[in-house]
Amino acid sequence: MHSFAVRIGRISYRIGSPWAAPIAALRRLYADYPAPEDGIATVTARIGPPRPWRRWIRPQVAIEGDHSLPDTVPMAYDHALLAIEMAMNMQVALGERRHLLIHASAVERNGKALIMPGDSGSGKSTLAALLGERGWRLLADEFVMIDMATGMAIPFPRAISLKNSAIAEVEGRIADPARFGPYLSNTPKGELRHLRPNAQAIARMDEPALPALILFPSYGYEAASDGVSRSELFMRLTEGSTNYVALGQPGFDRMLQLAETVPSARFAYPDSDSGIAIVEQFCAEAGL
Amino acid sequence: MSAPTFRTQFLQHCRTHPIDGMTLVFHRPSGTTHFLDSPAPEMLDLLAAAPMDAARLTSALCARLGLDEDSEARTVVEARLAQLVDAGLVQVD
Repeated sequence: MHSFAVRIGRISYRIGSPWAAPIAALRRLYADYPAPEDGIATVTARIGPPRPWRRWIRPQVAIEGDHSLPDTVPMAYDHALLAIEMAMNMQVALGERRHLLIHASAVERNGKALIMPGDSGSGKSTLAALLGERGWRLLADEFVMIDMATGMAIPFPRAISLKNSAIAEVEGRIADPARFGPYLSNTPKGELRHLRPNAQAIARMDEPALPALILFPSYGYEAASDGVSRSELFMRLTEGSTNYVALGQPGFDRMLQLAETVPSARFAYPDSDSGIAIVEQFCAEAGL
Repeated sequence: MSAPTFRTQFLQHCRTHPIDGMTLVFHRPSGTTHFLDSPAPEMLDLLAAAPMDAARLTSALCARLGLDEDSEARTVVEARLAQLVDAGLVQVD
C-alpha cells in the first residue's frame, strides 16, 4: 500500500492506494502542505480495486475510507486522482462533527470571510480561485467549516476542482504550471483539473475568518442581483450541509446564527470578469 | 365514539425562532427542522396549554385570531392538525 499523509486546516489525512502513481500525483498536488501534527492523521481516505483482479486487468478504483456510501460506482483508473479527492471529500462530508459544514467556496480579506454556496456549475470554485489570486485569501473550495464554538470560518484550503471551461479560464490567469494537477478527461464530472491554492492560502491555513457576507453565484446568465431572505438563506444553507442533521440542536443554533447575522444576496453573471466586479461591489457595500 | 384528543409537548421538545413572519422549529426528539406558518404555531401554543379535540381547538384558535368560527376554519384546523401529526409535533390520543 502506498500512502501519503497531509494536514489541510484542521483535518489530517492518511491517504492510501495500492497503486503508486495516484499517490505520486497527490504528493505533487499537495506539495508545500504540512504533515499531520505529531505524525498523527485523524481521517483515512483510500482508493482500491473494487475486485482483486481490477488492480491489474482493466483497472478500476473504488472510493473507500473511514466512511463510505453504499453503491458508489467504481471509476476508471485514469481518474484515480479524482477518486482520491472524492474519497477525501467523503470522509469530511460524512464524518465531520466538530464543525458545521457549508457546501460553498470561501475567500477572506481583512479577517472577514465571503462565503459562496452553490451547486456544481454555479461558478463558486472559479470565482474563489480567481479572487484568491487578486487580494483575497482562499479559505475553501468545497466545504466551508464553521467552528461550532465560535462561529468563525475555519480554512480548509483543499486543491480547487476546476471543471470544463473554467480550466482554460484559470490556466490563462495563473502562470505557474506546477500548481495544476494532471488534465483529467471524460470524468463523471466532465473535464477536470485541480489547482493548488497559492502559498498564502497554505501558510495561513490556521487563521480563521469572521463570516461577513454570503453570496450565491449563478454563472452563465445576464448580470443581475437580488436579496436573499433570512428564511431562504437558512433553508439553502441547511440543504447544502452534509452534517447539519447529525449535529442536532447545536447545529441548528449555529446555522441560525449565520442566517440571522450575515448579509446575503444572489447574483447572476455572464463571465468571470463581470462576476468578480459584482462580488467586489457587494463586498464594498458590506465592508469587506 | 368520542372525537380524538390532540396534545403536544411542543414547549419541552422544541427550540423555536421567529423568522420572516414564520416560526422556525427544531424538534429535538426527531432532530428535524420545520418552517411553520400561521396558524400552526398558534395551534401548537393552544395544544401545549391543554389537550383538546379539533372542535375545541377550532373555537380557541378563532377566538385567539379574531376570526369567525365556520366550517372553513374547521377544515383548515383539521388539515393542519394532520400535517402536525405527520411531522411528529402533535400526538393523537
